[in-house]
Amino acid sequence: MINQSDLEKIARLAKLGLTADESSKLTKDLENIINYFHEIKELELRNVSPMTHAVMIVLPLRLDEIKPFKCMDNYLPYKKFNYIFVPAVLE
Amino acid sequence: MNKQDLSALTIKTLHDKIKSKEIKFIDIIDSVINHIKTDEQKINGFISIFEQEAINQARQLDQKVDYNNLPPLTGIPIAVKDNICVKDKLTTCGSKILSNFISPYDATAIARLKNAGAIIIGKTNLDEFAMGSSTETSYFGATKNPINNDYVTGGSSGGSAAVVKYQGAISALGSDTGGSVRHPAAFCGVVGLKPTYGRVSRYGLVAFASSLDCIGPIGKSVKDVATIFNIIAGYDPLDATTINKPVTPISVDAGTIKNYTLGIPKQFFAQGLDTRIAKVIDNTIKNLSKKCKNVKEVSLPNTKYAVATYYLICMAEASSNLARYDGVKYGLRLDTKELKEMYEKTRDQGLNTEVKRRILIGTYGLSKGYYDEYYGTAQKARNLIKQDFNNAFKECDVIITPTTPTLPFKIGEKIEDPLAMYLGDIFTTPANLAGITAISVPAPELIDNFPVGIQITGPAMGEEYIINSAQAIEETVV
Repeated sequence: MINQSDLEKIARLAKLGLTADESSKLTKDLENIINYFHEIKELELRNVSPMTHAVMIVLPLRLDEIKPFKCMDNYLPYKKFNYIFVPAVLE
Repeated sequence: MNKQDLSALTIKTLHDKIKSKEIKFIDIIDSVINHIKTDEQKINGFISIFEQEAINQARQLDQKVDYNNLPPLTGIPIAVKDNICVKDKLTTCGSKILSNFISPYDATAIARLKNAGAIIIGKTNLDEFAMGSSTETSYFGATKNPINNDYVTGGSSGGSAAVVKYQGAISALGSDTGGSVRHPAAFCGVVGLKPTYGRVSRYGLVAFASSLDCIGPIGKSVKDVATIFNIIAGYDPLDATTINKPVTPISVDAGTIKNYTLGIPKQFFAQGLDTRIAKVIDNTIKNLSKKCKNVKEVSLPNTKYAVATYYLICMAEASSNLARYDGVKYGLRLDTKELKEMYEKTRDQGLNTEVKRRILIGTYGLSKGYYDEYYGTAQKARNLIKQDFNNAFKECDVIITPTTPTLPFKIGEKIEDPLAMYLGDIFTTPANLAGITAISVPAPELIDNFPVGIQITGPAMGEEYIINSAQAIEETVV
């Protein structure tokens, strides 16, 4: 059902690097676990609506106003000159 | 009484002793620190301990507190699961990827504890990102059960349950996404409450599965858990999913169960439940039946689908919530030449196998062509499970079940078999899926020295009913 190349595709989508050992163990785990999940297909769900949240709440709107927020500099280890630095995306 | 034993007392008793000046604040902290010194090394319940800060805070209180105005938690040492933010302290989530992360602010629950006078004594160990049922998957090593060190504490709030048990804190906060407060409470012989979804703000709780996550208290007694709940519950403008209704403080009274009808769902006593646990629950129900109005069988027919439904939903939500740990803004970053490589390597080295497993399955269940088959189907099944509870609560006030299908297991016993580990959550996940409230309280009898957790489930906002019922169990003498 799920083979190594499926797993690699999912890992790419999830931006997750995997070692070779991990990748073969996880392929087996995923197969077992997803097989188990198939039991919910026994349920008659044609007339059931999906439940997206535990409580029905209308999301509140907030006023569009500026509120003071503490300087976060000390909590951002990769910040230089007011920017967060990452490796180059383009050559 | 010996001052060493102060940490065995309830919050209310300590508060009264402080008020009458029978004891000092420093005596409470000394007692807790003594237990930490004796037991912490073998249990590994804490990730950080704020010993000196706690001593300083207690000394300050002793010098200049106003005894006429003592908030209910003044000087009470509380431990906090390490996925809840405490300002300027590490919040690691038990993960390498956040092992250097300092919280810039207090979670709302923490701000409320501090306002009520609490002293935060330390941050407790957990399964990495609260994903697990044994507190074995933490980057900081497994927590051991104080009752028998070869056994797991349950999880994922195993550190919080363990330190409360060995008296390294008077009470603690945990988080409960699929049972993570109640499960370790059951395994360690303490009390754990999962409040109604939206009753306690999630602001400052590191997100795992946002539609299920809930902060809950762990304590030695039902009354302690109620005291903490009264303080942390309530609307918070910083969490749009909190319920905007006033909180009436619960004053615990076991006597009120004379008006309650207890529901017993036959589906919870089926295959897979340890027969010794079934017998203990039976005895407890027999005892309660003398005190309550009525006991009747109720039906929760979709319980057997709870584990599959729960894991499909929580893994999908986790795969989305954990996308933020990519090495860009904070936490671990691996030096690489390219950005994409940085994401992949940071996440590979920073996250453990169980977290990766859940991200992968969650991503799969949300991906094109599979969404309806997995995530969409699970959302519908979730609705059926909620309807089961709606129907059951037409016939009863609270539902009594075991918290876990087994007794604590040995460290290492299930770690290689994720599905076996997931099946241990069969009784706790339904309350999270339905968004309702549940508590685990130790049964009056032990099995081979291990405690048995009894779970009492109530309707949304029904904390008072389950807390009073739990108190009735706590007061039962065998």
